Amino acid sequence: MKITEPLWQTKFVIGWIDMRNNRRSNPYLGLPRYQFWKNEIGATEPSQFDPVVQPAFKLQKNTKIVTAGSCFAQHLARRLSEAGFNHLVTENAHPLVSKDVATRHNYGVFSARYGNIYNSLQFLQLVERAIGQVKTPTGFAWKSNAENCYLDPFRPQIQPGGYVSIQEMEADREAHLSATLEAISNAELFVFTLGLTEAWVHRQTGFVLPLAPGVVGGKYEESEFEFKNFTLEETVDSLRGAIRLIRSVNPEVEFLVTVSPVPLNATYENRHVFVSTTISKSVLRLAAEYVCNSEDRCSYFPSYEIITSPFSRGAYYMSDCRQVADIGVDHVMRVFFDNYTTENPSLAVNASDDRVLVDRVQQSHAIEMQKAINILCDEESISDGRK
Amino acid sequence: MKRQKKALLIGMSHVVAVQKSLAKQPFDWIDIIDLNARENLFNNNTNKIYWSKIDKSYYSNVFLSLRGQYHNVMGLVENPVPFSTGECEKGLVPAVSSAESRILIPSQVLQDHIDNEISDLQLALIDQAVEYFGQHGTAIVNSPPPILSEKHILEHPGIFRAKLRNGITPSSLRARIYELYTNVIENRAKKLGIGMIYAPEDSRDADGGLKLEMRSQDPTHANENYGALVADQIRNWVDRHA
Repeated sequence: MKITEPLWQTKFVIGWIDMRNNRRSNPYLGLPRYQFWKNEIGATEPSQFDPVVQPAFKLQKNTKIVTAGSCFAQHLARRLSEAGFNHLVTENAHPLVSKDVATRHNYGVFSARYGNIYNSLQFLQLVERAIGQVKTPTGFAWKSNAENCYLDPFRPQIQPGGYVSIQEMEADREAHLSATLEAISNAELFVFTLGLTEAWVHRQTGFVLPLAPGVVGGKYEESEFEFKNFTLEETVDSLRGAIRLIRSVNPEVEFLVTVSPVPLNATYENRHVFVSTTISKSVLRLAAEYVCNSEDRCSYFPSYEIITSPFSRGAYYMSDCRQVADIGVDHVMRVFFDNYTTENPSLAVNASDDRVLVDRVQQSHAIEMQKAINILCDEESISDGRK
Repeated sequence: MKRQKKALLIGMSHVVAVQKSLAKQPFDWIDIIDLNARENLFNNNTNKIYWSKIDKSYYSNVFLSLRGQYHNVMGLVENPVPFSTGECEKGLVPAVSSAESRILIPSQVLQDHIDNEISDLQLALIDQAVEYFGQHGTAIVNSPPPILSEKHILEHPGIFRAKLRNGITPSSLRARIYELYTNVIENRAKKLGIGMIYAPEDSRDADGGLKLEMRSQDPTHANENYGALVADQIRNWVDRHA
């Protein structure tokens, strides 16, 4: 066979192979294309970059998908819903509440109203609290800085305007943990996005909080809170712990782990925020790798690589170089759907019959009441003899 | 001779109580417009008041009692999916017992929902009124407090007789819904830079509802005794802001 180009540029690398001894002339020969940088079509056509090699599963239209994680995970959750997949939401607003108001108060952003979960230990502790292994101390609340209301330190920005009393907050928290347990127990696929290694820990309880005290509520006291930058080992342990604890109530659940490509907003370490970002994301990426390699039915989805790869030339970040642009999320979801689904993502899953019925009952009740009030008010005018 | 300017109270059914209270004697300091009785001024279907038909030059002060029943629309009859909400001192209303299964709607969510629901109706009319009459001398007259007595409602169900088979919303919850509704109206008044007249304290019983002697013979309206108190409030407001 005449070779007209260098060996490493041929479509199929054919080297000299000793057929008798089954030895290659070098160990790279015969490896798949995707293991070679030069073969990556994304270098010239960025939108074609697809780093998923062996998808571990295929989703059905009705696969119950639970989402949790950092702010980037909100994109995944929203796009799954919009594409008609069964993003399982167990903590819905009362059917009386309009959709706009419910969304503003973070219902439906994730499967339950936990807000952003940035850190693997925060995740493990949420699961522990939901299952009932760990109790939240009574009265564990923050006073808002801006308004006369109370905040839940575990999810301080979950409800604009906060809670009117600690008792209301605790009642809502109880309902929320029940909904979280329901999500955990019924998930068929659990997608978790790791976000940060830096966190603030309540010294007395060991609880990891998503926001530093004093930012939106509570008061920072060094005696009460400590800064922690979780190590690789700690991140692996807590992520693995969360997965195993979820499996204790839901043995069949599949996990998909991702790492958020959103850089740190701020670092408490005395170094440049971008340096901290690199270290943090490296730890998270390694932790994801170790856990996914050691836990069954747990795989990694390379959304981090899609967004941060040099192939995109930075186009997947907005002008602040931090928030992910829609074009980047589009690419991530395209790769996700191409690899993990066999169904057309545009085919919508119908809202459950129960939900449709409940909404209709609410609408009917509201219309009837308004009509009755209108008649009553007209009668009031008639009673005065003026109509 | 320069005509003395009057006050104007404009609204729907809640102004009737004030009209009745003043009807026993001549009054020349206020005009009262019940829009439900003035089809030439108000189109309920389009939520439009024909403001230009009201000569604003007659009036030194304008008092708005526009719509104002949403807290009863939402709260009088038990919702098909019963709910509870938070309250500052009581924690939750109605208090969740082991016998009840209610879905909690945090009070801020409920207040935002109320705001959303009345935005295109009551709040839009208030905005229109302020745009026409201006901020100066304009105030909202809040709706009367709800009638919290179940006995009264059952004895005077009116048009709600059939609906009441679903049950009356517990009084503590209805009181709270009225508070949240009042917050929404108050916020709007502050945003527009206009005044607000709250329900007279003397009209309220220990639970914050309308006293027996203030109630009309239906589940939601106040009577002329209440109207007299509101008329006094309006008169005092005019005198203070003259």
